[in-house]
Amino acid sequence: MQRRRRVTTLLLPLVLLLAGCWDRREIDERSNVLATGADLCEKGQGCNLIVTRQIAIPGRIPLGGATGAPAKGESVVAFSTPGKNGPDTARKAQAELNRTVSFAHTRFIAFSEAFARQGLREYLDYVRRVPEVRRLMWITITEGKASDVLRSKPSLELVPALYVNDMIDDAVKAGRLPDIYLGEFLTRISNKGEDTVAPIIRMIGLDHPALAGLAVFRDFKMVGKLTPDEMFTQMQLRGHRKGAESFEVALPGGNSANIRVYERTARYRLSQNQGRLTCRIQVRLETEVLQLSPELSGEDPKVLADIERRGAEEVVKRANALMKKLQQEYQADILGVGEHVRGTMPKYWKTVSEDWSKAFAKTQFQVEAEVHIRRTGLGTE
Amino acid sequence: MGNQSGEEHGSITPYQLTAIAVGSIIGVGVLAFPRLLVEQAGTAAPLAALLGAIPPALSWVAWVKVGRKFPQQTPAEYVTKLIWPPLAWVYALLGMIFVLIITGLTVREFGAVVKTSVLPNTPIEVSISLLLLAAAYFVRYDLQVFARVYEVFLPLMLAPLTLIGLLSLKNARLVYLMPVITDWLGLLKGIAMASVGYIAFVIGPFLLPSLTRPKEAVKSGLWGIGLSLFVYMLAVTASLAVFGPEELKHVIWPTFELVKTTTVPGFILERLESAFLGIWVAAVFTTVGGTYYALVVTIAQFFKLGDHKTLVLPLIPIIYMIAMGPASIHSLYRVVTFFGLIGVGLVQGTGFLFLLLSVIRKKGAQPGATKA
Repeated sequence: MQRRRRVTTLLLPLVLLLAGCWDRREIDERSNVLATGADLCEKGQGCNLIVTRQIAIPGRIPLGGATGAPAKGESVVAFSTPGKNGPDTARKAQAELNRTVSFAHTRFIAFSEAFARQGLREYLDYVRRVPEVRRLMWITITEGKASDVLRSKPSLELVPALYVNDMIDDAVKAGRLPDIYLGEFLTRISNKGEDTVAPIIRMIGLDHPALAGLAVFRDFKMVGKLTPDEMFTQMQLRGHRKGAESFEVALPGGNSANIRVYERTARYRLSQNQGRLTCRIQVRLETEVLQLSPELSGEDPKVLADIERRGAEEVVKRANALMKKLQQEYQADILGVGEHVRGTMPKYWKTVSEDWSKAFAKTQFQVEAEVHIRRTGLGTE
Repeated sequence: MGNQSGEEHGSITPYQLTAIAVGSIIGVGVLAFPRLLVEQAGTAAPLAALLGAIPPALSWVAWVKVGRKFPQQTPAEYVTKLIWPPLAWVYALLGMIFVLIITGLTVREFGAVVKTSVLPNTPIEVSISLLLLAAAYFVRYDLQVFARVYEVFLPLMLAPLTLIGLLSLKNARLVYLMPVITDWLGLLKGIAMASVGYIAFVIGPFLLPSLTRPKEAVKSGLWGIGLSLFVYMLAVTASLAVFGPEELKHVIWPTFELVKTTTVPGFILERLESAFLGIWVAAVFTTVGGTYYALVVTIAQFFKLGDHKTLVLPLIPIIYMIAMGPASIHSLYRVVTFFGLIGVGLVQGTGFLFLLLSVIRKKGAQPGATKA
């Protein structure tokens, strides 16, 4: 008995050796890529693309809010790697780094406009297959080089990738940008009756990335751009609920009113006649007055009714201009009309699903708008 | 109370039967279920999921009716009375091999998910072995312990799954669920696929003699199938409404991806995937436990061995080898689909077959006698 106990006591610590974890890896033992950007290679350089990765320097990123003094020096380093395709550049980047590259904390992925116009199918296939990549990260198109955005150092935020991330996050929450994260982007691309958009980032100076409208895609290729105003029209037509835009309504006598949209809804009514599709979109905007010309009174119901009527006309005018651009220039159904057709007119859909872009271009659109002014702000008269 | 040799006469309450049904049905399959259905039925997937519960439900009713004719026996014991004995042997052996295979495949599917999404550096052999050992340890216990484990797991599994499912609807789009029917052939294939989701409840008919209240067998079994249907419906509907019919086909485990894209701002766990995975591992464990238990009990009872426990350990290497069989994840899913569809015939069809045989051949206690 005594002997057995002694043997057991001796053997027991060996159990500790059994404990193990193949996948234990501390967060600062990895090269965390915070953002990725892809540019086309210039001719004669012997590569297809250059991928720039913004990598966090361990210990330099403040964790858990703004407590404590920020560490001195840069918090990130940007590496540019030329290569044949995404995985190729990742391999090369890995060879140049001391720790295993991880994409688990990547906040956004940026493609230069030139790259996006060549098509993203191949690169996104890679992105979709890597299990670490989160579908919630943002996808953006940069007007110039993607590497310029990744190398910029916005002064308002310690970590550059977080500046862009927060900028998009906040704009989406406030209703200034459609909520298109990577997963949603892929979903819309996959949908047969829908094309996708992605936010455009423009550099102001060297260190100041800013949002500048939307990139329009047809299938996996970027085909055009929308200005911020057109983007808001698109959001009105899609009925993105939370609104943020304001616009000016011209009134008779040289007067004008500025109104701000805070809620949007849109209803789709589809019908077809001898193979020709008609789509009625009823947009409804809840607004408040931001500014009135001095001659006008916000308490006068006639004035408000006039602003509502002319505001609606303005909305329809902008919508028609956008639809014309989408149908004739881009042939890109970024409203997802085709999805409504697929859902509600399955028989008709079978006849157009193979080439929806063409059918979309031929669809007749009737946009109707209702503008309601609910508040006039704190000032009176 | 005691475990009588050869027969597992524990006492299983109606609630425990429901819990065993849900626990064994909901398992690895939940992750790929939406994709497998949408590949067949398109936007009709939720309808297919709904209708897919009908065959297992009817089959359960048939099993209970057969069971009433042999109130003291399990299918492994009365199969020789219903079928010409040599044929019964073949039938029983086929059944055993089938249950052996689905146990192995379940373990493998678990390993594939863990390796791909959670622990890329951990050898798949290790995660598979650990699950198998845990299940073997569990299966060695008596029926009562077995039932109690499910009893405990049921609320722990259902409540968070429901919560996660509902939270993920934040990004849902109604138009993705339309049209409700695309084509009839696809819908039928989808229904077949959906009823595959219930084959892991093979253990069900074996529990009938051990129920405390046999009269409630139909009801509590149907509750189990109904609750499982609820989980499946939630997974399919939410995945389809979030990913749409096209993108969903590109995602290997839509339910898991759905959880990964769901965030709860301000919640303690902003990312739900770790919580979900924890529940999911438990769900896989109860599924493997269920089929494993059915396997050893069938063998023990058919061959009239005294005790099922001795069979547990020798079976581990066989299940392990089956699990390691498929070469890649895609061949795994081909094999899973193939055996799944066989299983619908074998597990659910057998219920009807036995009922038919017992009526035609007038075997077992007659309906009037059971009430006594």
